[in-house]
Amino acid sequence: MSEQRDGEEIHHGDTEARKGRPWGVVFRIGEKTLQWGRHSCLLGEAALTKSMEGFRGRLVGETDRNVCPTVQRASRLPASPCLRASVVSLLLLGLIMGCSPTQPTTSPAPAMTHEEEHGILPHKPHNFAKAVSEVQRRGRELLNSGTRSDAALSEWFDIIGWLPELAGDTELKRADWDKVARVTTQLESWSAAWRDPAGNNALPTVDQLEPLLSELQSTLSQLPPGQRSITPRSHPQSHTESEGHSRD
Amino acid sequence: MTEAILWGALLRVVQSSLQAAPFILTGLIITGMLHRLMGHNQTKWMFGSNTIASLFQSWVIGMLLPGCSLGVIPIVKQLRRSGIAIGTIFAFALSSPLFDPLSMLYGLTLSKPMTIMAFATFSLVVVTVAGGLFDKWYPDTEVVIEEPPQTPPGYKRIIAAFVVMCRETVSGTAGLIAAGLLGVGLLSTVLPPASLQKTMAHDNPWSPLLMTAIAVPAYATPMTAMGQLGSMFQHGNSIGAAFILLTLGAGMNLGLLLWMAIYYGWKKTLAWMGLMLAVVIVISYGIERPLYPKGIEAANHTHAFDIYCQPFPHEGPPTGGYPATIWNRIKLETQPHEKYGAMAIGALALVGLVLKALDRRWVIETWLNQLPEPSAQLGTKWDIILPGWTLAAAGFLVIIATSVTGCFVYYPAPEETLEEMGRVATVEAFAAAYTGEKEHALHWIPICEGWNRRLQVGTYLRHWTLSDYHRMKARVFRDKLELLEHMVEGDDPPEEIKRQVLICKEAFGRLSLAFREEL
Repeated sequence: MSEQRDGEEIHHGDTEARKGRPWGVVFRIGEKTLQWGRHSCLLGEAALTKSMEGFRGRLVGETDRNVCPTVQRASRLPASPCLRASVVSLLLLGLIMGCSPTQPTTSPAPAMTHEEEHGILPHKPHNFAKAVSEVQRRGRELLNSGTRSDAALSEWFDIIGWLPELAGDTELKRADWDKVARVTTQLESWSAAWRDPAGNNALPTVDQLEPLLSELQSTLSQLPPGQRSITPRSHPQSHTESEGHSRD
Repeated sequence: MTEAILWGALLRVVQSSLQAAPFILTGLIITGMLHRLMGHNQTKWMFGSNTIASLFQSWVIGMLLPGCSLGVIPIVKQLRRSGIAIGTIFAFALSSPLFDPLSMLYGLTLSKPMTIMAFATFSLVVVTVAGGLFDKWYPDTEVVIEEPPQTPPGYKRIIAAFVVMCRETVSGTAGLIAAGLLGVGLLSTVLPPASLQKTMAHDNPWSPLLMTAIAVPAYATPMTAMGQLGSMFQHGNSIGAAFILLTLGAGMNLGLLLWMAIYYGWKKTLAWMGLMLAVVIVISYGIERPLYPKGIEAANHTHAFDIYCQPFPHEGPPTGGYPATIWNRIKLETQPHEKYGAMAIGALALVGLVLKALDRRWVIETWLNQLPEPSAQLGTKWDIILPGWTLAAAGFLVIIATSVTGCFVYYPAPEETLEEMGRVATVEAFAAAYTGEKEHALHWIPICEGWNRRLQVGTYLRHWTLSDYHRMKARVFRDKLELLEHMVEGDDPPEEIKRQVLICKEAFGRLSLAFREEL
């Protein structure tokens, strides 16, 4: 069951008792799923702060015998606003330790890959050569494009931010790596006006971009041929004992 | 399942005992010096008492002396005997385990050393605010205990300090340390294996509070806490939780709380805890956003807190059984300084027990405190009688100098570290991962990660700088190792693991080249 209140859709009545727990309630506020259960409580902030009365009515009216004792105590709150505020504050503090967000019960999240677990985003280039190519392509596109979406800008700043890391994963010597780090900083300054249009940053121009892209391109020429390719290496080298993995 | 939990708790307690051993030994040495060389008056002068200045003094002394939250237990007992107020005692007890030269160096080479400096400053705020308020509310916590007779100068004075160490080892101090270790065991029983891997996220407002619940019973040496902090920064975890881990995880344990409850009562203990927790939690929420490192790709997991959880999965006993596995892990993980520390404490306890047994017939202190014949007091002009505090000050300087020297031993020169990594650690880790020896790989990969950190600190220690280039090479290797660890842990297809091994090997080659040829 659901109802519309203050612009938020609140579903309630999915008691945890139906799923075999002694008590607990699942709320959905907007897109968030909030679970209030024995070990995992999450407060519907709006529900608690906007109207304790409304909150109480919902909980008790629908699922009184399944609601946790703390909530039942809350439903018998005193009428005095000050006292009520105090009790609500104490209630909040008491509940803090057991609170945690839960996944929506209807559509469990798919298992994460190791890359996702490490925060590796899908638009992260797989090597330095690919990153340089992406910076060249995206930099020119963004410069020539009339409208720049937030997503495109976010990815642009991500990719230039990854340049030093990806360069660190190559055979580049220190002087060349330092050059990449410097160009990264310059590219960030060059495109800063896109991120913060209201700031004092100068608008990016092609005259400034091309020398930076050329510098990046020149670092690529310092790499061995195998690392200049933008395609990932598909198969590892064969492993032999002579490679030094033997523990003998 | 119960068997796994109980054996796991035993392993955690033994691991913590061994990690704590060198620090407990240092704490006993400091106690012996304070007791027999400094005396009550000089100790009180050095630490101060019941003033804001004394809180700062104690904080500075705590920062200089190496220690851990278990190692400070004999010291805080001695400080109480010297008539020092509880706020001042806790200023020392909280700050001593947070930093020492080893961990400070480690912290300074993390990607954001300013955060570590900020943490150190905030720890001063915690002890000043909490200690100041507590001393104001309870100004009567200075006790007057009669000082035992002084030991006359000479070798007997040194023996007297040694006797104090031995007696402390078999006194209530042992019980309090055991209580601290019990907290570690109990904590592991309630936390299922790897249950904290997806906690402590920066965007989870409950992270600092969850960390508070874990950190009070937990035990971490300064180095362990600093390593965990590094991992938290690297994984984009909550900065507030990291601060709580350092302040309470490294600085507090159940033994210290029990000591306070025994000597000052539960009311004062709860008041102190409430005050301190309030200050620490407020600071942790205050620093969450300002100190959060920029440009971090927040990972969804971390292994930093696995050491607080149950070590054994519930599926069934490990190959060879629990006792054999525990013994193997202790043998593999224990470092030489921990082994020798534990052996020294064992020897002290043995002498302490013998002295206790002898007490019925002969009390050694009576002999030690006997004044020498007047003729024997006359020495040559070179035989200068130094006051006890001079000897104690020299002793403290030796302890600080030893810990600084220890830094050079613990963090070898880059060439030596690379040699160690290339000859043993990476070979073991990569070969095990390549051939599918999961347990062996999961043992050696963290060791490689540890050496990777030591490589950076060792370089910093000798060159007083570490370039962004070298940091990046180390970071790339670390990230690849960590991915390999998770692939092994997650039983990924062998071909993918083999591919990752080769990628790691390449990254190590580049790391090695950068540190050998381009420093």
